[in-house]
Amino acid sequence: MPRLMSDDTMVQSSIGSNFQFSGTRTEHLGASEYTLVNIGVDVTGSTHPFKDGLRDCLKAAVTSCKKSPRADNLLIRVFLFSSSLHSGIEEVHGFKPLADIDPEAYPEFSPSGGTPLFDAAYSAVGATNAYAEQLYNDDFTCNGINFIITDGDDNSSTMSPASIKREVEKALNSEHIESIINVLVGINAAQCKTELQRFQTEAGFDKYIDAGDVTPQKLAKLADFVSQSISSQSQSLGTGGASQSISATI
Amino acid sequence: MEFSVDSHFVIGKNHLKQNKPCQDHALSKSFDKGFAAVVISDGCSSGGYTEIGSTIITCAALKAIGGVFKSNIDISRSVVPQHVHDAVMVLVEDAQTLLGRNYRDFLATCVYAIVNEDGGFIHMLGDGCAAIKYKNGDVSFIKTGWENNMPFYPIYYNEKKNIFMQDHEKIGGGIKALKVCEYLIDANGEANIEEDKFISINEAVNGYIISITKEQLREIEAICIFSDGLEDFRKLIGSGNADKLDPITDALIRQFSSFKNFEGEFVKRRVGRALSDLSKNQIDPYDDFSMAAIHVKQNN
Repeated sequence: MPRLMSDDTMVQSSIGSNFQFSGTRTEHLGASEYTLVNIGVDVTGSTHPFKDGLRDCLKAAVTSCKKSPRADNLLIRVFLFSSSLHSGIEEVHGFKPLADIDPEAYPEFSPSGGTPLFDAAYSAVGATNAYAEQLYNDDFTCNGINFIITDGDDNSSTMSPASIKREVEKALNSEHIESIINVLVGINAAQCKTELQRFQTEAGFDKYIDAGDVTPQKLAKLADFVSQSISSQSQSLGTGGASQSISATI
Repeated sequence: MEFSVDSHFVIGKNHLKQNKPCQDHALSKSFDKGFAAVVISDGCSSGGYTEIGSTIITCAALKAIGGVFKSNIDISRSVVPQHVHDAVMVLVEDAQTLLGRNYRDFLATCVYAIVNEDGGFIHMLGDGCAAIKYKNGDVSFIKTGWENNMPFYPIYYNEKKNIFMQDHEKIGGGIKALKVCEYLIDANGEANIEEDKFISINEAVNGYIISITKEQLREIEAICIFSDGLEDFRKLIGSGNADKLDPITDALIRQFSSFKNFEGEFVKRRVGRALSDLSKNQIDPYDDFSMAAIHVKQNN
């Protein structure tokens, strides 16, 4: 699993037998509470026409988080998914404090392959659960928010919606994580809206957001939506519940 | 040798019920990698707006300790605690005058610890507790308490010392004004009293000092100071009644000093988790509770 910005402050962990993720070693974390964020971005062949816009959207979302009053309490993991990648998932970086993330260094996207959407969702929720447990064991409090951004339905996963739902329920019933929000975002995905909505329900995701067709304005709104939702969820940390103000539309 | 510091304070159940603010305060500062200080202050519930006083006292203490740091005074010298005490009083009285506050707002304790690689000390002005956690797992726990629960607050020092001393002697606290108990708790939780003594009023008004030598410091993992809120954790036993816990036998000291790591807000994290775990067993702090700690990182 190639990874940008890897260093000895990071530790690699497993989710089940097929997936891995990395996160900052807890001895390098200074705050008392964190919001864990996953942003999974579809880089399958069909995203090729708007690959640069998608990358700019990702960069803008992460950069915007740096302006959040909760910037010091966010640990963000960014990964790409496509069947052309090893294991279908490739981390751009594992869970890291914003101060250690340089969105300008994010790689150019090279879209190709099919859509391991279920695997991506499983990786996001599973990594959140596993890392939250590590944090909990070292006295940190945390909640989480996950975004899976896709332009199509699953066609090459090893995991199922049911297995994702089990991870979601694990998070909801666990004392390791205070609350979790999972958001599926469809971009340029009008033709598979029904399938994505069904997946959202079957996997136990909180929302399906149809971002509409790709335009620079829509991508800018998507970036804004992601950063606002992260900030909102982080501000709810310590209240015992999830943020109530995640917008239902973009 | 390097030090990391942190502090935290939380409101007690009694003040929550009475709709009063938290009257404890705590601060910490690493002046550089080799000089660190922590301070807590516990405002008197029957005083004035002591949440103001306790906050100003912690700020004043760190400012006064900063003066010691800048002047490169050898902190193992016996005059240093009195020097800090005097400097705190000047700052507090200046703040009192500047802000036009009544002295009753400043009825608050001041417990602080200073270390550099040559050693250090803990100075308890008023009452409070301290725990020195050694690398081998032993914990030296020291608690001080005033006769009739009437602590000598630092604000008394300049103008009201004589009145306080006379009042204390009237209630029989002259020779036995301050009780100091020191325990050694081993890694298995077995506690033995190492020292149990009384300090006379004449000495006690200058505070109780626990010296830490350079040699001792090499064996220490963390130095923790607490307000006396540590001694007012209670377990709800039904029909509104609650039993008070012993910090030693009920392992509260061990719980609050079992740090998982020492980066950033390590005291806040430990206190938060310990309170959360205790609360599951219906154990809560009834008095306000403050804690601060210095972690000693040995550079071998």
